[in-house]
Amino acid sequence: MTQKPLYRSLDANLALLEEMFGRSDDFYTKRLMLAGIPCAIVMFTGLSSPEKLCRMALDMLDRDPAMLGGGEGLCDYLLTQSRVPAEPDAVEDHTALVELLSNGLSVLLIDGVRRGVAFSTQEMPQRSISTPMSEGNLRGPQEAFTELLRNNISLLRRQFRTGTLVAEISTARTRAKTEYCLCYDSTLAPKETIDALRERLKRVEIPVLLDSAYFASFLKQDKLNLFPAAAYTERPATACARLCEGKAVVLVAGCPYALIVPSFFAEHFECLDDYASGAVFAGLIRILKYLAFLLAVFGPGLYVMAVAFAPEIIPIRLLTKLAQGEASTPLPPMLEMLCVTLLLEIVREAGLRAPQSISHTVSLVGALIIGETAVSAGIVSVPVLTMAAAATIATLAVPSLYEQSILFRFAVIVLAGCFGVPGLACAALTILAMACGSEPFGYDYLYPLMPPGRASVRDGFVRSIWSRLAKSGEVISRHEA
Amino acid sequence: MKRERPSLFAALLVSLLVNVLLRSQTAYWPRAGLFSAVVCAPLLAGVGWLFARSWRLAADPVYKLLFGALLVYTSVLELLRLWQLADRLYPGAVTLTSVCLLVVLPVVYLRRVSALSQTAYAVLCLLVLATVAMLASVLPRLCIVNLQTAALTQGDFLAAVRDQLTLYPEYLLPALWPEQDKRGRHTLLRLAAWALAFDVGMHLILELFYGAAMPLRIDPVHAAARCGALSIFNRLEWLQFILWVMAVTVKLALYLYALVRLLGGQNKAEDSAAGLDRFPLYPGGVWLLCAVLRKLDLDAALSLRNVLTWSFVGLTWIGGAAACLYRRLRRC
Repeated sequence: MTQKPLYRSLDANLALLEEMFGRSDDFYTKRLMLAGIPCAIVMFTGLSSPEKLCRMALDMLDRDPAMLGGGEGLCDYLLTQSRVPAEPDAVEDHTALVELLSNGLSVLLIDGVRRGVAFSTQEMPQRSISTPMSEGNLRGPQEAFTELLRNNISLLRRQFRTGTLVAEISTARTRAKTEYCLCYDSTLAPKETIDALRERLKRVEIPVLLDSAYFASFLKQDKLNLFPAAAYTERPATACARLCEGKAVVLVAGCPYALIVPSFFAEHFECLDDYASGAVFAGLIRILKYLAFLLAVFGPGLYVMAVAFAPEIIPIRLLTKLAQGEASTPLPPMLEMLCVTLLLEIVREAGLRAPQSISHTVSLVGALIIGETAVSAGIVSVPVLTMAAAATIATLAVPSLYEQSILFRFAVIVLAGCFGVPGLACAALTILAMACGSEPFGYDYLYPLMPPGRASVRDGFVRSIWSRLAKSGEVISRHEA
Repeated sequence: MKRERPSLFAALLVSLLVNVLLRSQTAYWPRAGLFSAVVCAPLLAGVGWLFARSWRLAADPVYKLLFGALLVYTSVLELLRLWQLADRLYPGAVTLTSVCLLVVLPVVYLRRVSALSQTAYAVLCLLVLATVAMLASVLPRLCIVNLQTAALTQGDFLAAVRDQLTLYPEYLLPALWPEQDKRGRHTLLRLAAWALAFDVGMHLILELFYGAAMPLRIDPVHAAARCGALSIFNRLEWLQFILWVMAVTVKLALYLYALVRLLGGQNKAEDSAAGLDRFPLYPGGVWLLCAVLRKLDLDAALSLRNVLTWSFVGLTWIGGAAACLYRRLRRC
């Protein structure tokens, strides 16, 4: 839509709106006289409440004394002098008018005036703040972001109570004009990173923006790299912690997940509970998570390689068991492992997508078919099933790297199954090179794990005690010369 | 945590260390090597430093082409050496084509110098850890009585010097890096010292392991690793082999970066990646050469590579000296 200014005539403005929204039943318009001047209220009934408008503005206007100066005088009075809580800026063009109406505001159009006055009378249905669904934590705050952008900003501001928190709201270049908000701490966040991020977000042009993850692909430097360029959280507390590290948080209207930029590999192994529990226990859990990730990615491939190419590395008693299991199955180890892993993924996907009432049945039937029938029929060997199940469970220990774990696992199985030890080496180095090559906004993706140093044990592979962590909070801009 | 001026020291070091690990036979006794290393390390560093000085003066398209050819030839030899080792260890499991594919595939992600630098650090750490694990696993088999007590002859020292003075292209590569003066002091000396120390150390371990039979063993490091057991794994040589493959890949990625700098594919930005459109030329060409040279006598070819490298360095020195002389004459 072009930036056409509002007409001076009330009828012309209303005719234009009628042309645009006349076929929509939720479009509400009402002509009225204020201080003897013809005016009209326009709004969408589902987004804005006529009662609220009446209570907030019209009653008060009725009690206000008569104004001099005609329509312009009324407009100026409402914008600058009246106690009526109108928006401070006048609506001056059709684009702004449509955007404000879509945001749930009511607009008062005055005859003979090229401006309109907007009132915040939003009253749209919304989901209440609930507990996080995908980020399980025993301790810490238990509230999660919702779909409403303003609510999410307020949740963040409630946690981050300083004057340095900046929340820049912009409209994305999408067909639906979706809003997003770039939040950062103006004193902690590196200016060049924020500027670069703001610029990149501004350049993003997509037909529809339904999730903050849509932005992530545009923020990647190397499109061939499978590691995510950003992290996500549905917890305001986690977002707040990242803000304290000098990172930026991007909230998108309609999405209950905040995007955190830049994001590092080690963050996928951290959670709020790490900091609420003791350092020793937290360190142990973190190491377990790293091992779980390695098991999830390399476990099945290593098994296939050992059984098919290098059985000499397996102790003889274990090898006997494995050989017995493999002898009774018709498929070679690589295909067997691939089939089982694929089947497990199908069961997981079906359980996730199926209606909640039957998802348990899907999982149960899947487990029964794979676990019992396939083994007893001799299609799949028990060791393969055990390894595949262990890898699948291990994947869930680091849920934010789920996609990567699955893709890497398949690649490792195929390469190790086809080429043996060099294949495993190739897969391992490719994954390592991807992680090392990932460079979110010029930062080391593997920080603080690589290069190994004091930071690696301060809050990396393990975490230090709080008294040490508190001495110097980790801020990304601190290490910049 | 911000990546600025990534260093390729780790990549150079990994490339040098893997030469020691992939060696098919030991070359000298560690006692002789220890003494010769004291002389050879500064000598190699000096050669590299002088080459860098001459390169700045003498680098013209012919020299660049010669250097590029040397790097491609070395890449081919490295791949052939790895393939022959893989074929000895896992007969019939891998073909030359698959080795080329597996080694070159990760290079796609190592085209940017910052990625290469960081990956090389990671591989170096893993290599050190794996070597320590191997040492720990074979510790009971290392016997002090295996150390040879026979007096060293002049031939032993000469053998050590000859081996340690093998001039790998890694000593010449820093001449190609931009702003080489800002790369830290004594880079080449540190590089040579670490490489030779590792070489001598590895020879010492092998002597402790094999005793007098050390010079006779084929693939001595791998054969030693084969005897180590750790936890549920009977043997650890596969772990070593995985890391050697990684190290060779890092080496090839380093050569690709150097080739791109040499042959003009790189634009002014230091960290810009080699374009994927040009990238297939490198693995494709290397694979083709490997296929052609697959029956090459590797030991002879590696010796020839050493001669060629020294000759190229000599040529560059002459070119640099001539260029320097010409400039002075013009000033006069």
